[in-house]
Amino acid sequence: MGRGPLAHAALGLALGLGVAAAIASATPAGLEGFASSLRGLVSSPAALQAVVLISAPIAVAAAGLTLAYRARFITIASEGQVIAGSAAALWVTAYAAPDLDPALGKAAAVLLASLAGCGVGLAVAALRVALGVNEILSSLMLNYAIMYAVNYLVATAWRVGPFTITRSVPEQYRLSWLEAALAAVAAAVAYWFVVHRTALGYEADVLGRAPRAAATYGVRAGRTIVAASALQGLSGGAAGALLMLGLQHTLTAMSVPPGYGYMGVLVAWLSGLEPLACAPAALLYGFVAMTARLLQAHGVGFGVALAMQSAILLSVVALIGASRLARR
Amino acid sequence: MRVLRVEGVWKVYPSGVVANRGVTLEVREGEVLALLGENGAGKTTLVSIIAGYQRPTRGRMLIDGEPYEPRSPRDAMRRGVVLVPQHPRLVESFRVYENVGLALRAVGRRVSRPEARRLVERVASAYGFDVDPDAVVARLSLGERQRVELVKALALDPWLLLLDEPSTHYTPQEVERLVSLCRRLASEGRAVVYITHRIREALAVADRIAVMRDGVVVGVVRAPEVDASGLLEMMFGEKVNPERLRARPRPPRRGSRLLEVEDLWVRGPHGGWAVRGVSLHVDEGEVVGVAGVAGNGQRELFEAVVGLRRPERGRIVVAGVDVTERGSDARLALGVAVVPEERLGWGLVPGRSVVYNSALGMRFSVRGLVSRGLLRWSVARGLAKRVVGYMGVEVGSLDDPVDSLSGGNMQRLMVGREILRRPRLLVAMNPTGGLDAVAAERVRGELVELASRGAGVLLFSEDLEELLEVSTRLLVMSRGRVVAEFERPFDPQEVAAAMAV
Repeated sequence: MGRGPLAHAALGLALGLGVAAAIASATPAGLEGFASSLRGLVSSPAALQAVVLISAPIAVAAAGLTLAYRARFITIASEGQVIAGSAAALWVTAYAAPDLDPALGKAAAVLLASLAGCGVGLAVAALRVALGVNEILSSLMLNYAIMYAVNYLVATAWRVGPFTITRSVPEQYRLSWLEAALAAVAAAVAYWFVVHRTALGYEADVLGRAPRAAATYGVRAGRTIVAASALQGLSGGAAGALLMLGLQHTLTAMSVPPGYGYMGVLVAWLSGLEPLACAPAALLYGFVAMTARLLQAHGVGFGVALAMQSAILLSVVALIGASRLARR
Repeated sequence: MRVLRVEGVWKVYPSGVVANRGVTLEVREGEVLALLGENGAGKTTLVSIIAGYQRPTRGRMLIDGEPYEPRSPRDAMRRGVVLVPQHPRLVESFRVYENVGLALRAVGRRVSRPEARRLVERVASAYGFDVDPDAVVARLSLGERQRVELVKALALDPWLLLLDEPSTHYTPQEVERLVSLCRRLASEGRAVVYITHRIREALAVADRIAVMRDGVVVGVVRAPEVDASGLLEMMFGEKVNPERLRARPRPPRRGSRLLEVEDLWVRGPHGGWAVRGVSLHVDEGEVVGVAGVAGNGQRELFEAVVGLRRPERGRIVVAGVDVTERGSDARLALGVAVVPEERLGWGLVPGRSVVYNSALGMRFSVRGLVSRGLLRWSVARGLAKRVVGYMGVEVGSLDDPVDSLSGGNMQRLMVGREILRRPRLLVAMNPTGGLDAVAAERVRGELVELASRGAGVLLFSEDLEELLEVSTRLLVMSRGRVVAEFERPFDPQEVAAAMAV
């Protein structure tokens, strides 16, 4: 992102906050509640750390998606990958090996979660390359299949006590906000390298921007898509591990997908498909989401908080879009 | 009398390229003004400013003394100013009359489908176009699409019609018809601006000829008062001897077989047979030309040979290896180079830099560009420098997006890259399309040079003169078949007769 889009993003944020303030003034919390939530957020280290813990999985998922999207492989499997990844990380840390060396346990959880995500990525790519199934549809449906499969585990094998809730990740495996931030930066750098320094990243980009040129000059579309989707899947799974070890620590039955992977989709496009720009874009989302949570503490309903959150994000997206149009 | 006056117009692109530097020009109704100049002289930029696609950085325009500041193509159309772009911009999935209806809608005229259809029929019959209003654009050849663009423009009943290289996709006969159409439009009281880099065409069509060079109009002359060599000098600013530029093919020494196509059957984009049992071969040192009226299966044959389209039957053998069922990667690895018909999206990747585009497909030809899965950008940059230096591509910086280059410079970049591949077999389709005389001769010279070094060239071209000039052997395609084969020396009349079959 150049200076133009950044300035527009800031303007969008200001506009969105204005809209959110207007909505807030109509709620019981009022403008004051909104202002005090914002103040509370910036003045509280715990809240800021929570912002990082929310943002990190989104940033990681988005960084991987940039590779797939450059090839115009519009997978949204990141959502299912995050769910599968968090389930895998929970299984490793809470069920399979609760007493491992902390570093080893964290690494094992992230590794298994990444592999799970990679498997999902491979499945989506295989359906497209071998059978011509549109990746948007297959990944959307796969996301639900994964969610219900995990729900089943939560309700049966992993269930503890009378409620549909699982064991928690033991304390020694939990990630600090700093570890989560470092993981997000590492993922950004890794995908930057793949996108900008490898033949795969180059060929994926050629394939996405000029499919006919790709077919003329030796880019094998199927192979490129499978490789890009597999690498993308690693990030989706890793994001799930980050979410589980950093923020959620446990699983309950889901009625709708929690949305970290979908937010990664938004952040990836917001970044202009630049892996390095994903982390700041995700931070913006984390900031907004945290504000909405704090507002609920002021008696603002969940729905209203969600509306304010959406207003802010929509403003930012719209203004960044406008700045791209203006540069044409 | 309506007059458009352009005064001191500058256009500086965000990349820093200056396309127009103070253009002043006048067009009056009832005349054809040819805008002549080599590639990159600023012709296209100027007409896209006049037609509202771009805004001038400085300067102003007047119609009949009133300020004229089109903010969009729609604005310009409402003022009766319409551009026919060099490369058709139609909605491919729409029918011809639907495209015309869309244009009318843009200027605020809502017409029903039957009305749009009747309008197309009326314009086509009034001006003698062979256009089927119900044809889906995707099924039309480039030449046919260019005709549709013309019909669409005329349906808007403009007083000023801007034609950007209108003959690019036309056969010689069609160009003649186009010239008489322009004369007729002028006699109806319209003004026509005819962009071309072909001197002969300018002389045939125009009342006045404005010559552009390096972003300025270097002179305006009345057509009867000037000859070709005078115009050539104005275009290039120095004495150019066209004879010196002529490529001279040498008789091939018979070498080994580089390409063998046997009984090839290929379906077109809509399922019908486009290529019906073609056999041909290219040996070392040969330039094999494929002539024919556009739309007779050349494109599908080209696509099958380079690996873009699977043939249904038959074999394609490159340097002894059967590649029929394999993709372009196998062909590139065997030393095939490809110059496709279109630049952006086909031979170049839009929105990406000169360096990026110089690396396209080069991993098969240049060792060290890719090692252990990593792309070495320093090697790519070196390639870009060589291509730019070798072909004289005018470029601000190697990191500029290719889209910022003029059409001719893009073509040089693309052709240069393919030549730097040091191919054993070059397959090219209209490689001089849209190039000015000097650049086109340069490209033809390169093809001949390649062959004289022992490579083979398979050249598809709509320009018969070009094929007669550089081919060592000439095939004529008609309705998906090779209907005639000629050896040097060619009899142009005989070849033209075979094309007309």
